[in-house]
Amino acid sequence: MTTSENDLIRRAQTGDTEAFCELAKGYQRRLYLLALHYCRQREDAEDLSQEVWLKAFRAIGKFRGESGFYTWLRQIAINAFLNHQREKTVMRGDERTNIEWEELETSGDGFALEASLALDGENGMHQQLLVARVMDALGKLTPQHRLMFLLKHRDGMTYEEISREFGCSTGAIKKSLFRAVVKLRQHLGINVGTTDYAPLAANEKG
Amino acid sequence: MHDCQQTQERLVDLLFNELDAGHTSPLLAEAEDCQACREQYQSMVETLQVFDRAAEAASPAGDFWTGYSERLHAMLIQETQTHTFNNPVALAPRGEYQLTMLEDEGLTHRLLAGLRNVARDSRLTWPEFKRDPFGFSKRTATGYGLLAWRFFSQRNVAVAVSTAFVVMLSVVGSVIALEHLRAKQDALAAVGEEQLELVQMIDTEIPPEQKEPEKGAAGMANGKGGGSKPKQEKPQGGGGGGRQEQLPASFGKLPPAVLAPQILPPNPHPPTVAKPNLPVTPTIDADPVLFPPDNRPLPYGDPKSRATEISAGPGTGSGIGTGNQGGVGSGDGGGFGPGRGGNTGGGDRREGGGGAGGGGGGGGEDYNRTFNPKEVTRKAVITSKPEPGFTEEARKNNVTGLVKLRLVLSSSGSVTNISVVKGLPDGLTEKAIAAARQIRFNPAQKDGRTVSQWITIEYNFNIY
Repeated sequence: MTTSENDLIRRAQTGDTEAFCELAKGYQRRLYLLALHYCRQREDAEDLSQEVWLKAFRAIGKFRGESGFYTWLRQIAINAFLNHQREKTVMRGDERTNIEWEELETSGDGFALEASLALDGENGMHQQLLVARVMDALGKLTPQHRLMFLLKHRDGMTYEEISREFGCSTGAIKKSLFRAVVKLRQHLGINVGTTDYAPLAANEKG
Repeated sequence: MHDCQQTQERLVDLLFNELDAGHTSPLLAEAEDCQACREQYQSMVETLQVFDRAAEAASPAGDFWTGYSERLHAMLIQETQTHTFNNPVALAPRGEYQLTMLEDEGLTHRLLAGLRNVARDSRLTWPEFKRDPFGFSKRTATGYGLLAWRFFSQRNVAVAVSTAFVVMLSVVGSVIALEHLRAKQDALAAVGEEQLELVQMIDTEIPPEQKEPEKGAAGMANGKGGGSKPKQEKPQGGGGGGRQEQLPASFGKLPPAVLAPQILPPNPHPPTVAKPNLPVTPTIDADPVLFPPDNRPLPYGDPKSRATEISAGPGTGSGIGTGNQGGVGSGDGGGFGPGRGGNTGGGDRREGGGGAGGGGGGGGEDYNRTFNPKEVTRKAVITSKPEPGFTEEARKNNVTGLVKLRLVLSSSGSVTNISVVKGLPDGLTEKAIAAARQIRFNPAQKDGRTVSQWITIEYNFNIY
């Protein structure tokens, strides 16, 4: 944490929104992308990441600087992400099946469309398809697995850190990560060649 | 012994760099040796690579972040405002004094921003309201109720608000009570007062302070006087009256003066009969020469008085003043001033003469003295001036020169009081005096009256 960041944090703690926004600029990309991969929808990612910022703003008075700012922020984010999933499930109650079905239907296409705005040409088309497929595959993971995978792969957290966040053993984290990668691979249609798939599948069940 | 399952489980560690440097190479070598393990590992790496490529592609373009920052900023501002409203101390770190300064913008800016917010809010909520008015109202009411409840359930807030209420209420109450009390007292005081009725408004202007009358003015019994009789004579007499009022006679003008018994004595009060069939003008019994007509818009009264309150004075027999008959002043009769029987000037009635040479106390000026030529309004005009002639002695002695005489051209037309200023010998001065006595002239005038005038004349004795 640099001095200027410390300074920004101190000012943000007195309710200075400008300072907080300045602080947020340094981490907004990382947080947004995490939310994006987790939600797989831009709108949701925006809402969710802004919610995290809001929570962080409200709680910054309690930030003691014992850990890094991003570590602290990530804790808020993880809680928010998991709660978000829960709220969504609770709130939409009986509509859940409907929504899930809708999500499955639209997530790929919606993303492809949006991505096409940012990219162009033949290359862009491939990229769109790729993004759509990956997002779809991510959607096949459970929220917890998805988050663990993202935290491990994108954020580079250690098994121990993740296990602390999720309140389970490192072994369980390891196992979940393995399953997540295998499932992604499966949904992305990546061939394992002559791999004996059966033991793995059996292992997965166990 | 190579166990594919065990190795593959550990491949995750390899994949996510969770192995110590010492363990990485052996595991990598083991995976290389086994084709299944190698393919497994390669496919996993490829999965991650694909994911990374997709993640890269899904990352929004640069301008997205500017908008994102702005949206975040707007949200935080809104949060600050609502949050500060609800709980101003929440933002401040514990134990530190925090000045709550929402914005340091001007009032107009804040008002505009507020209006914009309201407009935006109503735009956002209007469709919702249209769709479900009752539900929306209910939700809004519940939301605000909850907000209010949360506000009041904060520590000390309810106590503070109710205290403020009680204080304000008691202040307002005491103000109203005091006002009520005062109104009551006013009403009581009004009942106690005499019920006065406005009878009449005097619209004529009465000077509040009157100057002291001159000593020689009419009615002062002081002076040599005059009157309408042809011969100079001091007028005498006076009058006075009053209507037994408590106040002294008020200032006012005299009614027209007529040398005849009064028909109607003057009265400072307005006539009781507004339009009499036979109107009679009030008069005083005095020489009209001494009292020029007075056209000032004043009620009748005593010109010598300084009182402004309309009153006929404490005297009796109607009229004005302290006297006993219908005149004006302290006397006894229909005239003006001290004295008896009418007219003015003091003493018993006597009509004056010699023109308007002064009122009942004479005019301010004594017109019987001899004036200098500069003092008169019209100098005496000499109509004939006989030559003195020489004496024999003078002719013999060749006396020549100037004789200067000072004399009075009196108001009666004679030359009097001759004195020699410069004389000549041999009887020439006597000649000059004799000649001067034969001067004929029109007397000088002052203020319309014939007066005596000093004059210096020169006789030049020359031999030709």
